[in-house]
Amino acid sequence: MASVLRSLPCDAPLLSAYRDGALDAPARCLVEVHLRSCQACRQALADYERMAALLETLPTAPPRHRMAADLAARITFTPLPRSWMAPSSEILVAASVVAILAIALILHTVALLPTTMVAAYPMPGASDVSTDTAVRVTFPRPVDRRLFQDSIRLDPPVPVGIVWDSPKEVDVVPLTPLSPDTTYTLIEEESIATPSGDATAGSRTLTVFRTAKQSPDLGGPTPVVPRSGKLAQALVVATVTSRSSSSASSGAATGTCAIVPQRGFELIYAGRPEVRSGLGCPQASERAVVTHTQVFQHGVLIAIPPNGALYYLSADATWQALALTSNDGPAASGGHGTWTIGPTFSRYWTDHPDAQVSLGAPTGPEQSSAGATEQFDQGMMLWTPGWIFVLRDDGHWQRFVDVWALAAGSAPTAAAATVASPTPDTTPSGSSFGRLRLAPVTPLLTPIVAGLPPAPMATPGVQAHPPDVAPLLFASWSGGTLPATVGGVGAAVNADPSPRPISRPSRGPEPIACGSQIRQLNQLWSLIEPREVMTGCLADPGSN
Amino acid sequence: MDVPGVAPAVEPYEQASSIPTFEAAFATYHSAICAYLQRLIGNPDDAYDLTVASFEKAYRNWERAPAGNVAPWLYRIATNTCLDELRRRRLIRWQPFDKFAAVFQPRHVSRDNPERDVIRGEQCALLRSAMDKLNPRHRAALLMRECQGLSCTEVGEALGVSREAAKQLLFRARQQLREGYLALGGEPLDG
Repeated sequence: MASVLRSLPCDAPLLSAYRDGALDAPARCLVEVHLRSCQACRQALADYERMAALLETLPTAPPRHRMAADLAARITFTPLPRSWMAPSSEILVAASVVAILAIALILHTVALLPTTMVAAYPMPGASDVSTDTAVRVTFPRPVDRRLFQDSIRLDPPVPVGIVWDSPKEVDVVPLTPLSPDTTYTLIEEESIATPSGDATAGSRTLTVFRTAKQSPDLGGPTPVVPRSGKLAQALVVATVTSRSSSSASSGAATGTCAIVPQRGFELIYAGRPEVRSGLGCPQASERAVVTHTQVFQHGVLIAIPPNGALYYLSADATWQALALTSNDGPAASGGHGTWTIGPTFSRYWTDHPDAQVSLGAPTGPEQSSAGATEQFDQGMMLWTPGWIFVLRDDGHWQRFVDVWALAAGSAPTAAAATVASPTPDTTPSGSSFGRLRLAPVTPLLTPIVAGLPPAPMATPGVQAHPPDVAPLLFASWSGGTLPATVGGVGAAVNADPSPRPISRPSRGPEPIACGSQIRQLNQLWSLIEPREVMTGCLADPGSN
Repeated sequence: MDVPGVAPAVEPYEQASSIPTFEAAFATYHSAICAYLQRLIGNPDDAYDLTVASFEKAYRNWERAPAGNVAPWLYRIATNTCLDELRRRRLIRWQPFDKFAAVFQPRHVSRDNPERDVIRGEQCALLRSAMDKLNPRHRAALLMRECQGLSCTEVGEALGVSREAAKQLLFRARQQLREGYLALGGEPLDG
């Protein structure tokens, strides 16, 4: 019998299937017996295995952390093909009515158009405009930004962000979705003075447009202003603004800090008073480190070899640091489809069965990347691509989106941004809109993981975010449409009609990132981390 | 995990019987699919764009995602997107390896054994050239099986063929890769 088996002919397809584990037991047995006596097949099998190993070592770069944002841009800004080829008679009637209205609007508006304006988008008289649109105005000459910001408003009133693309181009970005089926007017209320001293007086309509009947689904017939770089640009704007104002302010807030955090750390540190007071002053400038991160169902492990430390960030908002032992253990592996414990953490993992229980299963692979840490008097800040963690010595941690890195995704522009929100008390006509004035809002600086219980977050003088903000940050979508965008960041603005007390003598506005794109971005950012962590974190502060 | 008595609290997405949400699928697979496409097309920037395009397609067709294991379906979209792009551009050739390596190689050269790394680099270059000569479908099948951990059945689903056909594809891919590697002057591989 054995000799019969030995004399089996070489069967290369069978060998390949053997390598794939795709043979039943008898066939597998046949191959194994044959292999014992056939040098050629042994060599072939060894070659298959070595080539597979080599294939795995072919270098690949980890996906840039902007992928979620890029995907959001494509999903949001690209219209779906619609079934407009065969409209029903009702739609045709409605369309003709809209067209007549639009023509009337155009005729009405053209007469009002200021000669100082070159173009506006949506065009005057446009109809069926997405409720997610931004309004772009282009001027023939550079315009005084502050004057423009002080004099522009949307009617009916909507809180807006102002983003300058150039001295002649500005985007007015509504921070809340526009109401459907509503005519909006962008009004320049006072004069716009050019640097050369020209001034035009009076109230002018820059554009009039009507929004679509329903809040846009992903295939709205009118695409949102098609500019994928807009969001990043808005964030750059926010960054620039922050940098110009926060160096002095953070010192003012903390008294005598000799060192000022930089870049993304600065944005968090300057924008969040409770972070500032919780961390105290920096002890040293930030330093670059290598980080290894793995996310689990109920927490995150972050190893920083230069610090000799392994940080265990639990979903219950607490963290602890452990000594990072040299790691010689193999990757602990789960079955097919389960992420393995990364090599950096396998030693810790096997040594700490209790951590295995509390962390749960990994929900992604170990990620190694560049990072940065900065030590403070009462804690540390830790940057990994996409995220900034604030670890306080009182044992609590928070996580923030790294706005700086987001912004750095596009070329910085020397632009300025402000946020305007309506105030109800300054309109002599008594109508529902009001003059716009600066109001500090920092939506993206809201902690993405509610790592801290509510009580310690409430710094005196700082308005807490309304309770509906946090769920929004974690809102996710499935199926064909994005979630309803009522409330959220915009609600945060509306719920806080009086500007937050500014504790620093800065004359500049606080950093702001704009509009519904931000909300979608927040939602997409939440994709990067598994939802178990999110929900766990959200549930804990309230339930404890 | 492999620890006795400690069972994962929640089943991984792959074992769930219902369709995971799109964001869960994105969180789980975007990194793996980006790596797969990099190996398939040989250019990280193109792979990045193709990954985003693939997930966009997946999002827009999410109602057609199969219940249970969405991985083969996602790989199918990614593979088709990539092969369409290759056809469109007639860019069946890999990027020259040195160009690719110039960007990413430094991370992979360890200081403790430079000689081994040089040899490894040469082997990788030869293997990449051999991969270049493979039929793209063969290449895709092999990468999904060997690097992405898909089973023969899943590879078949991803390529729209039966399990037996997938096994044949894998066999031909391995055979051609091995022959190509040796024909390019690669030494027989040994441990």
